[in-house]
Amino acid sequence: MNGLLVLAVLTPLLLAPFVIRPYWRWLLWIAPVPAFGALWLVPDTALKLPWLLFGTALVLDATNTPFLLLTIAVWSAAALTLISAPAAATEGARFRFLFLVAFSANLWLILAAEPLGFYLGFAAMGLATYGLILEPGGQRQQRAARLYLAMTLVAELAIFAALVLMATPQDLGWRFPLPPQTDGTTIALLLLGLGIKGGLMPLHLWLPLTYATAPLAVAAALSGAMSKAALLGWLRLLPLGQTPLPDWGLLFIGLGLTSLLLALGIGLSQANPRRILAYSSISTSGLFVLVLGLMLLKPELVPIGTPALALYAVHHALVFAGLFLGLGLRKQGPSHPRLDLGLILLAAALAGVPFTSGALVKSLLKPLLNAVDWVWLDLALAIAAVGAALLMVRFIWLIAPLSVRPIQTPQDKPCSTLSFFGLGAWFLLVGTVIILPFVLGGPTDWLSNGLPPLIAFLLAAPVLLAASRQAPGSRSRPGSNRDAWDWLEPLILIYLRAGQWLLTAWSAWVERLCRPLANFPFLFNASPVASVGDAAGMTHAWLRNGALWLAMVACLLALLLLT
Amino acid sequence: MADPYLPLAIVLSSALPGALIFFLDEEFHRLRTALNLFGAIFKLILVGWMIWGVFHGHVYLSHLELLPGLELILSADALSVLFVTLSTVLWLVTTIYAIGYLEHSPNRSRFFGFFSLCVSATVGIALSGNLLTFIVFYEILTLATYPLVAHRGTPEADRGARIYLAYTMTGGVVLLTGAVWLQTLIGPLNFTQGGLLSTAPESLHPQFIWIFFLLLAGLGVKAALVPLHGWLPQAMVAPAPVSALLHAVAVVKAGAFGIVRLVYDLYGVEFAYGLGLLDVLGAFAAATILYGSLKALSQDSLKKRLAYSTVSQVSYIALGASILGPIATIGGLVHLVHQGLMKITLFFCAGNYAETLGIHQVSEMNGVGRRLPWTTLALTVGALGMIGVPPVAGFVTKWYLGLGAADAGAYWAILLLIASSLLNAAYFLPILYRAWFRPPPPSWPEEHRFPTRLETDPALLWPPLITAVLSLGAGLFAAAPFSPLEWVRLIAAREYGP
Repeated sequence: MNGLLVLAVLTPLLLAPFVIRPYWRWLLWIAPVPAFGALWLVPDTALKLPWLLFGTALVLDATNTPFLLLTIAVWSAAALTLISAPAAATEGARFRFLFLVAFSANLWLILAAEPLGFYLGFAAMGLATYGLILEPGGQRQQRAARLYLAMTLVAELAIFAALVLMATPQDLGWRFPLPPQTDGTTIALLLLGLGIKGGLMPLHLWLPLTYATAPLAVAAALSGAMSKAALLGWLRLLPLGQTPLPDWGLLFIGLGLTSLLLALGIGLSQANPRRILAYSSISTSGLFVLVLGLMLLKPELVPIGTPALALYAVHHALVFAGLFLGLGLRKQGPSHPRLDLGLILLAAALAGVPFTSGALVKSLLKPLLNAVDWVWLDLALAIAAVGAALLMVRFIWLIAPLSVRPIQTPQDKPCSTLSFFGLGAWFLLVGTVIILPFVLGGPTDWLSNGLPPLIAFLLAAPVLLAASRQAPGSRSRPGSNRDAWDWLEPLILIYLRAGQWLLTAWSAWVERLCRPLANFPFLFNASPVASVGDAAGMTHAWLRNGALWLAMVACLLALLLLT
Repeated sequence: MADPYLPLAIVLSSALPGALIFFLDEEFHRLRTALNLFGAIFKLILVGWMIWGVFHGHVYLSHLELLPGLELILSADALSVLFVTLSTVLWLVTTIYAIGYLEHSPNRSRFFGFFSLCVSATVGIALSGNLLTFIVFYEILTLATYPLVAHRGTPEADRGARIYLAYTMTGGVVLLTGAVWLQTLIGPLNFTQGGLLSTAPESLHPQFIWIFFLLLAGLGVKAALVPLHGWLPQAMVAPAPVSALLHAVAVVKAGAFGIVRLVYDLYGVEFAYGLGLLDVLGAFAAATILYGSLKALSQDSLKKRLAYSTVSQVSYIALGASILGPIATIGGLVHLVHQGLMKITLFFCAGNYAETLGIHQVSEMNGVGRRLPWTTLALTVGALGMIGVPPVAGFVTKWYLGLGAADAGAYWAILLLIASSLLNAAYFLPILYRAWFRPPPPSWPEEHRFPTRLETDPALLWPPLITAVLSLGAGLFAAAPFSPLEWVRLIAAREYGP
């Protein structure tokens, strides 16, 4: 039965040459099957491969099982949408080949029982993904892929150097868990190398660009599965659970917090839904690093922290894969109200609304976050929770106008039968997200974390209401709640003033920050709005621009400071 | 009981067919091919026998006394077997390739004659038991490769070959000077595991330092150490199989192998370290690694880019020798094999592009992956290996060099490896990007159609595929018995003792 472990890794790789022919592309669907079977192996199954590499081994243990689960789920769903997407003759061949190579490498890095196996999978996955991002090969894809490749190479070499330094005092036959090493250079290199993959600020530069331009199935695999390699790497390689490392702990907490908050701030000012998801993902990376920092600070947190983080990763992976694939399905097929509902559900889960998986994982992280009693941390986390929820409201707002769709062109039609599988897989994914909290958590978990989404909704509701009222061809009935509008107008004006003030300050700050990065003008698109019209017109311009959303955060800050 | 015949037989198994080929007329195509392949396969069998013997501790030694104190010695230790095996395997592959490559060109008898002599000289270098024998074969190698570089007979080829000869002959004289000086000081210079000089009186040490530099300069010419590398890019005018042989097996490797012998079996690595010579060697290696890669970045000619890449990569071997400790030694020595496998793959591929499509420049390679997918696949494996991407063989080298550097506290070497990897990526990845991701042009510069269903002539296609698989296998199965890595571990264990 142990052979299933090696079969799980090998199957996608062996199938890769076959899927080059469009006729065989349904084999994409077979690739995850042995890995799925491996999930059912007894915990702590290991398979030694003494002649492979320098003598490696595969293992399924408590740490990597959740990661295996999420990887299979995300890649299978992505594969199914790929099969059902209309075939693009030759361009697709290379894509499908690299897709399976990257999948196989991802499985290897998860199942590897020693650092070199992890590194091999990591490196191969990173390179294969380059080809996936490049598809279909426009100017923007090329730029994104180039930046991705450059940063991925740096990441790989940083991890290589870290492993070289870690391996020195030991024999070559090392296995996880590693004996702890508190060498500062190693930790810094791991932070750098895996931080790039995870999208930790300021190493995130490649991420928004890639998520915004890559094919949606790739964005799903990247955000859902591949970026989780960073978390797994940190859990495997960092000296967790031994001696407290206060300095490194504080550094991790600081970096994590910066990412967590800053990414939300930048994310709110984005107008592209995919970029919003990208910044949300960066922010989550920040949360992971923050929790890792707490675990470095207090080693006794590791036994509860590791499973909590792993579960968070599962939740995040499923939701993100669902969001990106859902966006892809919307682009592909005719409008589908259930699709929109599913997307809203997923966004709600990401925001941590009660009764969703988001609420569950947030409540699991609570004991960790409460382990230190720093007021500023609580404050920051509260802002982040509301900010994350606001970001999701903005995401839903941005995708909503898309549901008014242009008439379908005829060549889109033939795929509608095939897309049944894609849609089915997607709904399965959404279903899993929905039942996750009820399977894994208790009633206390379901109801936790109700406040931040509520605050976010209350902050956003008047603006949304006003804007949707004023929108051309809006769905609201004319004249029905004019009184409410009159009442809301002053509030919105306050928002706008606050937003204007905040935007000016924010733009100036961002500009100062960006000056050294002049070569990367695509990183931020929070450009100041010049025209000042009536309140409603401004609302519209700013809703698109995102400054208003920042204003909401400002209001929130003011509220918190008052209390 | 020493076996005197096997080393001699291994050298003669290519020299005799080579000598016979000289006397064949051009049109005896089948007989020449049969002789070539017979020699190559027979040699392979003999080498297999020797591997088995050396592994089990048998002694192979043939010697011929010229004068009292001047002896020619052929012997086999684990290190010589490593180099002999590499040359023999790659000679077979290259012979097949050369037969396909030179199918219709003139002077084939001359070519294959010198080709065989060249390999005999390389094997002689590998099996040399003392410095004198080494120098004799080293000079034979110089003379045997000159006609190969000049083979095309164009003015450009003549010029390249003359530059090659000028460099290597000068290097040979310097090497001989150093050797004579050393021999007058301490007598016969038999290669000895652990070194020969550590027992010499201390008053000779200053002279040893000067002699080391003389010997290093003589060997550094062939090993293309900066600033002695100038001939290598010029020798690119040679036909592709010659370039492949020059870069992966014969000339450059002979220089690198000589440096390994010099450090480990003549001076002794700890003695050389004590004299501070390893630092100098390390500095030269580091400069060469960076310089070669930087020059490669700006080359548009594919073969020139590969040539500068060789300059850079072969110095990994010298780098491994310059860091004290068994792990770095493993990293350097194993690269002797790994670089050979990967670089020969790359040159075969470059030859295929030139022969099949008339492509010589990197800028002409757009979309070539569509037309020659298997060749480009082999090129991809070789290029990724050069960068050091696992699981290709280059990674094994990089890992052991890094590990050895960390072990010896030579952290600069880790930085150097990282910089070199980045530079390698910077000049190899654009090639792969063009080949796989750019659309092909409407027509190729000079396309040949071969009467086959394959993408090109089978004799051109199979060699790069075989060596690509070997490069991949050497990395993926590094821990398997009789893999290059395992064999090098044996060498290091014998060199450093228990």
